[in-house]
Amino acid sequence: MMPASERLKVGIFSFTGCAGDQLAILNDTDVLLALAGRVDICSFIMASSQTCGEDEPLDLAIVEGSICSEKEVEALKKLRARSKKLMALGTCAVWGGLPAMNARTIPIHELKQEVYGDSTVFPDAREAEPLSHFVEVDYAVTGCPIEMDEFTHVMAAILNGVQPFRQDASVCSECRIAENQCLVQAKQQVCCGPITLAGCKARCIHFGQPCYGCRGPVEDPAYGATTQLFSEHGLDKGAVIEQIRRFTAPAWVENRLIPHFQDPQHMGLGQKPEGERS
Amino acid sequence: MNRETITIDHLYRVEGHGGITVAVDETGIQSCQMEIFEGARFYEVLLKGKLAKDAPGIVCRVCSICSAGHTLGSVMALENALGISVSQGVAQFRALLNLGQFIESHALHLFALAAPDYLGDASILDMAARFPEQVHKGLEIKRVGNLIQEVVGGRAIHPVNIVVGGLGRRPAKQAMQALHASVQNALDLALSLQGFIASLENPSMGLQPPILVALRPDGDHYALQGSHLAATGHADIPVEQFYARVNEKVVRHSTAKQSTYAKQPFMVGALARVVHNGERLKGEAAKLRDALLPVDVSTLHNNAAQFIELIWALEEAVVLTEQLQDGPELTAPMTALGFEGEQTGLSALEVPRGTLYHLYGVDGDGVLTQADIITPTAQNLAHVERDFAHGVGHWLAQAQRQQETLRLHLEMIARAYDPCISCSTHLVDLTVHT
Ligand code: SF4
Ligand code: SF4
Ligand code: SF4
Repeated sequence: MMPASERLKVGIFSFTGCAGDQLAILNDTDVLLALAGRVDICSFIMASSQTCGEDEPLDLAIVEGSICSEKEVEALKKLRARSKKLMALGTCAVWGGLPAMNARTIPIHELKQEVYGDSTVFPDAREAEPLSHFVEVDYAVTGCPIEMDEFTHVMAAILNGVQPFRQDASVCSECRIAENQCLVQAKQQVCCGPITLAGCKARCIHFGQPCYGCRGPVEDPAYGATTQLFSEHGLDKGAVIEQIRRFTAPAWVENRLIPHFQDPQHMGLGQKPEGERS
Repeated sequence: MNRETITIDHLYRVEGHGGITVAVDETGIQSCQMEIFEGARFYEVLLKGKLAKDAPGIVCRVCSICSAGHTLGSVMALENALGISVSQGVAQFRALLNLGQFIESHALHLFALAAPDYLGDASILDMAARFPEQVHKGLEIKRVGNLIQEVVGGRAIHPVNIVVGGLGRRPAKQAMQALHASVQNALDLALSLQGFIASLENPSMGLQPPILVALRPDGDHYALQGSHLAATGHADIPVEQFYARVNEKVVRHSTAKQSTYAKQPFMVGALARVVHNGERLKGEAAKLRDALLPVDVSTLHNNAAQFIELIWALEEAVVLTEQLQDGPELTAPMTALGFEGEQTGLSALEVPRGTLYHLYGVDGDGVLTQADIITPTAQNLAHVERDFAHGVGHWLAQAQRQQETLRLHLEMIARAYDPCISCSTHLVDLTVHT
């Protein structure tokens, strides 16, 4: 835990992504001003070209985006080495996010060949991966983009020297609180809510659409109940897995999520995902 | 004269990471490159093999500040492929969402990014000390732009309420009433800033007249959609002929591709729209166009054009938030997309920084076989390089060349394109190696 008394030195950094999580902070002027009143924000690329020195020690590094090149791997490791604590900000940083969605299915040189017509262009491209594959992550604020109430909660906990509350429920739990009609039960739609981490107050379902898993998976969902729910309504569980891969590092899906699903053979998920359309 | 390389290491404001290198020797400018070293994200390949219905939720993540534009462009391209059209009410809600994006984006750029240059301030924070009223009003206008996107799109970044065929949920009447009042207030605030905007004077830096390209709206309104393209020195062409006219090529110094129109660099954005379609403006926006734009515009006038569009967008939003409180029927969103055989869909839409194109091929199973996204900033890059070359040429011709002037002028040129959201302080870090 960090000392609650001193003024912390905080840097906000970004790797590969859409900058939506930085923008969410910038958009919320109240939170930003409150934060600026409590900590020294010495680096915030999107808001200022002033950056702290490359070797300057930090109390907290807030890091957005996934890691897509060797240069980024190096930069991340250096950042970690000079920061007491590190926060992964947004689904890209926490789970790999969209930049990682095709990792392990299309080799990187094929991607380069197809987009740039020459796979030797930009030799420093690598499969996108989340921060935790390279360094230790102390705090994770997921979301694509982040929900500001979660971000302020975690920041407040850090500033007060307490452990932030860790969300460990699925979107379904918030969907019930919001008294939404369940789209799986009522409309037989494929919804990722059962295996997606809560925190968005079931935003998409409120707007009449199934959850597409943008916050990444919940660590320990009730897989049994989930698969049963889908089976009861004649839905394809593979479609849910395919969708969750979109925002979550494929390796995690393969190693953690798929084995948890009951009867993977029956769901057509027993095979390795290589070569599978995703 | 020695050979000089002028390097702008980091352009903070391009969405992602980029810089500029200009090489000069005794015979003149040898090269002028806008380098984009943002990590490549390969969206166009990633989309292939995905279900077409998932495209909008994927492509909005190309860019956070234009996420509404990418969602709209994607949904419209799919509707084009399916051969369906939405009701007028849905079209109006979507237009309102795009206006919200314009209001947010133009206000941020004008007041937080561009204005400090003109006032000799390093950032909006420095500017706030002397111009607190302008800064406060600018940020309030920006906030209202976000509010529109929240109410109509369901989220200020990466909207969730825009669906093929319709709208996920109609915003509640109460929310629309409150929004109407906020927009009206923002319009009053913006109008009170016209004197301030008029006082910002463009320095002379030897820029050539820009080659401007914008959509030509159908009918006689100033609007953000249209079936034709207008280009400086060329007759209008149907949007479908865009690909025949525009060449996109890979340049080795940039992960972003560059485009030319009829083999020439070109500029898209507010200035292009106001120059090509400005005679259609009405109300306060029309008056401002006459007051703020000379006959001979330069790239830097994109800032004034953004203010004209900001007023236009707020005036439009006042009307739409009133009209959409009750009434217009909404077509239902489609939960399954039925594609028959191979279909192609194209959309062209004006977003804050210029024209955005989405092109998809979809097979009979509803799977994407092709995807091409051409963003405004990518279209502008070759024209930015052209402007930089002129700016440096102008600087070289001056007897008293000062690094500081060149630095400021190159920054101002780059900022005028509003390449994407960025910093409120220094845009570029410029070092000259001799
Ligand atoms: S997590 Fe989402 S909002 Fe954040 S950078 Fe990635 S794509 Fe953008
Ligand atoms: S499955 Fe989807 S719609 Fe049903 S309760 Fe869960 S999140 Fe809500
Ligand atoms: S409902 Fe699902 S897709 Fe929608 S915001 Fe929440 S986590 Fe993201």
